[in-house]
Amino acid sequence: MTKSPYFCLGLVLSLSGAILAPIFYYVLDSVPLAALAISSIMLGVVSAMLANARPEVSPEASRMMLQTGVEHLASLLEELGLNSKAIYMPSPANGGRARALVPLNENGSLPQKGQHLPNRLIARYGPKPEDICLIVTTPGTVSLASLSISPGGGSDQIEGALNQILIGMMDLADSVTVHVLGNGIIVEVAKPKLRYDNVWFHRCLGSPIASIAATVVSEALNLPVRIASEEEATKGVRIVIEVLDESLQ
Amino acid sequence: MRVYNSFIAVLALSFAAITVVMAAYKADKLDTYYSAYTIALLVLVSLYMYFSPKARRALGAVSLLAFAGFGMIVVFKVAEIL
Repeated sequence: MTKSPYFCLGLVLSLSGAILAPIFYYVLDSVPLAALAISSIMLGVVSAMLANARPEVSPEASRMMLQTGVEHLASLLEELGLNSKAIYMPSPANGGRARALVPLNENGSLPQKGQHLPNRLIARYGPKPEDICLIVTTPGTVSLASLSISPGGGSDQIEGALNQILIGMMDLADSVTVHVLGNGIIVEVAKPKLRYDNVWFHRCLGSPIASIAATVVSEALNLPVRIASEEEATKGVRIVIEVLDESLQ
Repeated sequence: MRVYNSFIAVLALSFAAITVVMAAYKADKLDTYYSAYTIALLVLVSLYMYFSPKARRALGAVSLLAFAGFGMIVVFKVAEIL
């Protein structure tokens, strides 16, 4: 903790404020300067407290580990030759994690709402013989663990959760806005640190940011969703998430 | 952590602006300055709602501490009046 720059800043500000405040007040007889020294103490305490709140694993290390996981999964997808877009499923009602399924056949059935996914890598998810999929854990799955999202939440809840994950926890973007448009959810991410690349993993599961967004949307709506598109916008990235309503029928 | 840096920078700017404005209005009581700083801190903590739960807990503790100081000022003032 002592090595944290926030803690060092906090210590310097608090100590200098504590030393200077009585000097300004009693020796120089200046209330504004003494007040400024008090504000320095307050700022120092805030900075020191934020040092404690920093994640133990640095964002750089987290990004490196994320990259490793993505590359492993990409090798698997590439080896199996899966081209279809992943369907993000909400976490089951009886507990467990939200996961994504990558169908072997792109034109296969859609999973049903509330469908239980077996705890396996390869599983059957529909009645047809070709309804076989790969069930994977995505970056969004893990980040959801520290948040409580109640099913049925609207765009405000989605926006709040995404801001908390992408800005507050992972420091991956500057801001996130969410709009509902027909059967889709549009997520605009300003200044993202991870971008979409035309690689196998991103074509299947989307970029890590889109994957997190899709997981959150799926969890908040309690419906399966799919990343329809990801495109560069003026301020950052525009992600269109398609809500798979057919699964309700 | 850009969001932490932004919070600290905005808080520092707010404190500086409050000091300049109050000094210009010839405020000569420390408790007036402190009350203004506390209000600025509480407002900013409310505005930066996207911190991680751990950071929000830490800032909540600082806010509580600052508010306790503000409460003491109010108690002293009320005692003075009475």
